[in-house]
This record gives sequence, C-alpha cells and structure tokens, in this order.
Amino acid sequence: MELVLADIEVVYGKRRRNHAVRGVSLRVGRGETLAVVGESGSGKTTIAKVAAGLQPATSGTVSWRATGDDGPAGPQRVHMVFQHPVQSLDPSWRIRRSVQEPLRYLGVTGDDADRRVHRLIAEVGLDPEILDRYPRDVSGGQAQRVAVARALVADPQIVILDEPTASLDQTVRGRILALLAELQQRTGVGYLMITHDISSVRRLATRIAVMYRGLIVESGPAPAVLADPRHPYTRALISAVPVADPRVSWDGVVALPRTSCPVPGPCHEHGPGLHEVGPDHVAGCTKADDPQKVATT
Amino acid sequence: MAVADAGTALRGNVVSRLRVGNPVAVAAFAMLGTILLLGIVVPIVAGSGDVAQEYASLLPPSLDHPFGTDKYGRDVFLRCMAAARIDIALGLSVAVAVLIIGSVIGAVSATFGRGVDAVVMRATDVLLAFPGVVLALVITASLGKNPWYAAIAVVIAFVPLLVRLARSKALEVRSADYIAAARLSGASTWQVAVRHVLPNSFKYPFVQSTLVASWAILDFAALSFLGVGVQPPDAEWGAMIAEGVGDNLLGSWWPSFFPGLMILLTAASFQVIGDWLDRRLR
Repeated sequence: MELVLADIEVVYGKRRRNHAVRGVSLRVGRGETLAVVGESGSGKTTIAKVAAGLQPATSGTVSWRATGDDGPAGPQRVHMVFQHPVQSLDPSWRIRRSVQEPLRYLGVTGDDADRRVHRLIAEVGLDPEILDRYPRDVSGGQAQRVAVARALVADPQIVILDEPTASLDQTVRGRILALLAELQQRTGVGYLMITHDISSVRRLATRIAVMYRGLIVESGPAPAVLADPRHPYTRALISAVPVADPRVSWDGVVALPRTSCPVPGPCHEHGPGLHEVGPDHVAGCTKADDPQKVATT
Repeated sequence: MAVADAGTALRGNVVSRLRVGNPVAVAAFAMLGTILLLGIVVPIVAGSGDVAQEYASLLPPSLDHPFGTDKYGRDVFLRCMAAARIDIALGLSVAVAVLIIGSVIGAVSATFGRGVDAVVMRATDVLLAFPGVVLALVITASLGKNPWYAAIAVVIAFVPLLVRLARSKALEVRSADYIAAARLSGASTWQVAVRHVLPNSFKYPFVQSTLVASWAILDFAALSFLGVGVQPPDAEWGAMIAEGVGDNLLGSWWPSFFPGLMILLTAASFQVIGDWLDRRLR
C-alpha cells in the first residue's frame, strides 16, 4: 500500500490567516521510510495528523493506493507511534488491553488476540509480564516499545512515527531506532517519520522531505539530501545550527512575511517552486542548482 | 460490554487508590456510619415511635429522652433517627443520579462537540442561571408535595454543575494521545466516549458527587422547611426545624437544635469525605 498526500493545505484561525501547511505533496510506500524534517512550527506534526486522519486538511487529498499483494488499502492500515509514549497509553488500562485494542476493532479476540499480543511484545523485546502493568508502572523506553507493538499488532502497511524518540534519553533512543529498523526489515512496514533529529534520519530514512514554514523546500533520497543538501535551510538543519525563531534565518536575516525562504532574494518576488537538482532530488531554492552559490548564501 | 469496560477501568483507576485513611476522614466515615446505622436500627426497634404522641410536650433532654420531646409529645431522638434514614437515602440517591447523568452527558457533549455540545451548554446555562434551591423549589411546587418530587427537583438543580465539570475534564482527556491512538485503532466516537473518555474523566465528578450529597441534604431540608418536601407527621430534619422554630422562641431550643445538629454533622461528614477523596484520587 502507498499513502499519498496531494497538495495538502491546512489553515488555522477564524480568519484563516495562519497557514500551517501549504501545498504539501508526499508519498510513502511499504518498506521505505520517508523522514519529514524541520524545526518546531514548520508544519510537520500537522502533516502527520492529516496523514493519520486525525485532522482534516483545508484542501488537498489523502489517499491509500493498493500496490502488489498487500491486501486492501485504506486508513485502517495506517497506525501511529506518538512522541510521548506514556501519554499515548490509556492510564486506566493495563498494557495488555491497550495493545489488544486495534485487534478488538478488527474482530480478533480471545486466544487469537492474546497470541498476537504476546508475539508482538516478544518482538519488541519486552517481557510478557509487562502486559499486566499499568502505563504508570513502566519506563519511557518500555512504554515506547509497547506503543510500537500496539501500532504493529494489527499488521499495518504504514506507521506514522511522530518524533518517536524525542522524549527518550540517548541510549534508549538508539535502541528504539534499531528496533524500528529491524521490524521494518522483518515486516516490510513503511514509516512516515516526523522528526527534527537528523541523527534519527541518518539511521532510518530512505527519503527525506525538508519542511520550512509549511512548505517542502527540499526532498529526495536520504543519502543525496544528507550528502549534498541544496537548500540553505536544509544545510543549516544538517549542520545542526539551531534556528529557534522561524522568522529568523541561520545567519540572522529576518524573513519577509509570507515567503518560504528566510534569505531575501528572488524567491520573495516569485516564490521558489521545486525544481530538480539531481535524480529524484528536488529543492525550492533559486540558487540550489549551484552548490557554490548555496554555500556562500 | 461498554459498561463492563467502564467498570473495569474504574476498579483499576479509582478503587485501588482508596486504601489508607486519615484521622479526620476516619472520623467522618465513623460519624456518617453511626448516623446511618442508628437511622436504620432505631426506627425498626421503636416501630412507629417517631410519630407517636405519647409523652408530655416539650420535655427537655434527659436520660429517658436524649433529645427531649416536641410540642406534640413526640421523642425528638426517635424522630431525628427516622429522619436520618430518609435524608441520607435521598442525599445519596441524588448524588448517584447526578453523578451518572452529569458524567454521561458531559462526556458525550465533549466527545461529540459542535451541535451536541452547543445545545448541552446552553441548556446548562439556563439551569445555572437560577440558584439551585430556588430552581428546586419552583420544580417541586410545580410537580406537587412529595419527597421524591423534591429529590427529582434537587437532581435537576445539580446536574448542570456535574455536566460542566465532567465536560471540562472530558475535553482534557479528549485531546490526549491515547484518544488519538484509539481512533486510529478503529474505535467509533461512542466507543471512545465510553471506553476512554468517561472512565478517565470520571474521578472528578465522582469526588464532586460526595459534595453534591451534602448540598442535596441541605437543599432537601430547605424544601421541607418551606413545606414542599416531606409532609407532617413524617420525620425529616428540615421539617422538624420548621416545627420547632416557634418553640425555640419560647425557650425550648431542643426540638429545632437537634435536627439542625444532625444536618450539620451529616453534611460536614460528606464534605470531609469529599476532600479526602479529592486528595486520594488527584
């Protein structure tokens, strides 16, 4: 199955002035990991919610295309792992019940459901004893493993990972990323990973889409984007220079209103648009064709 | 199935945390338990003693009549205990009814949002525009003089408070990640409301309902005092105060003092238990 987002626009506010996402198109299929990266406020979590069906888009479409013999395509084959693992588990339910929940709505109950839950819990590296605990009785890392088990228990085609390691410490983060990679290899599940953590992207992503102020400013195969970023913002992200205020660029230039690029220039007049800078690699920067110019921006 | 889900969640979430008490809460439980026990046992032992006019009128408290007698020659202690049964039963019934109705309406209102929420909120606005006891008085006067009508009136007066509380807590719960996870798992809006929102927002209305029990006893006594609740010769604390207030002016303080003391002790016990529950479940 392939999850396709076409020309998604999300506008907030009564007067519809706050554009969270502007004309974003993405696709993610089985076996691949599309990482959507960007700073806070860039619109990447909104994209995750729209892709999961948790929030309607103001315009644009979300569709699910069957590919090969993956079975039926549809929103029920999409699951999600949340940023705060403990908060994503019902505090009044034992973990067994939370992991079983997706199966219940598919009509899988009793011993069959129990067997699948035990198998998944073992696959994510947890002791079955944890199933009888409440979320308050487990660590953040354990809770995230439980959340991964719950997301995979109903055999989804695509899992949306919303900052899956952001609330975990460095060691646990590495283990969770290794677990996600291993599960992907074993089950062929596709990941739409939302993150601002470039090290997670390096470990897991096959493709990258870079978001800035609601727009995709660069996308392409992960090795190409990481090795040869063409948009100045992508370069800044990869070189891990913090950009706290989305109105302020990495070199201190304040962005003009309603533009996608913080660097004053032709983009402000005409909009950059995305154009090809390599095989399957696009960037929205008028200087992106020439790496020398980008480097000196 | 849905009710069983809510019940299981409550067992895990609420009841498991009600173990250790503090001295004030223990005293409140003991006080309420004693009043309730005497309210059950004394009328059984005394038969119709609470309405029998077999003693001299206005005898002061003594060993034979611990609370004295009223102007009709009835034992005030027997009447107070007979009234305890009806007052506490009505207070608890009102609290349970308000808790169930308020929590369900609040959770449904928050979960469905939009039109349903707007209608529910405007209805509560209208009901909350009147002081509870005035609203209950108007409803009881319209329905007729009957203790159960008074109880229904008190329920109607207090339900909007619990709806508001349950809704605000349900709105908090609704935005939690586990609700989004449940939706992604395929849960319908009703399933989300019953399995997740209601059990997780229930503890706040649950605590509030103990306070509602105490307010209901006060309001119920007020309605009887005003003559629209329990009717003579049946015993009820508010009605007993109304009957004894004239004697108080003539120096016989006990026919109105002891029913008032019973109201104070019972209402205060519910309040203390409510505070204790609040601290335990927070």
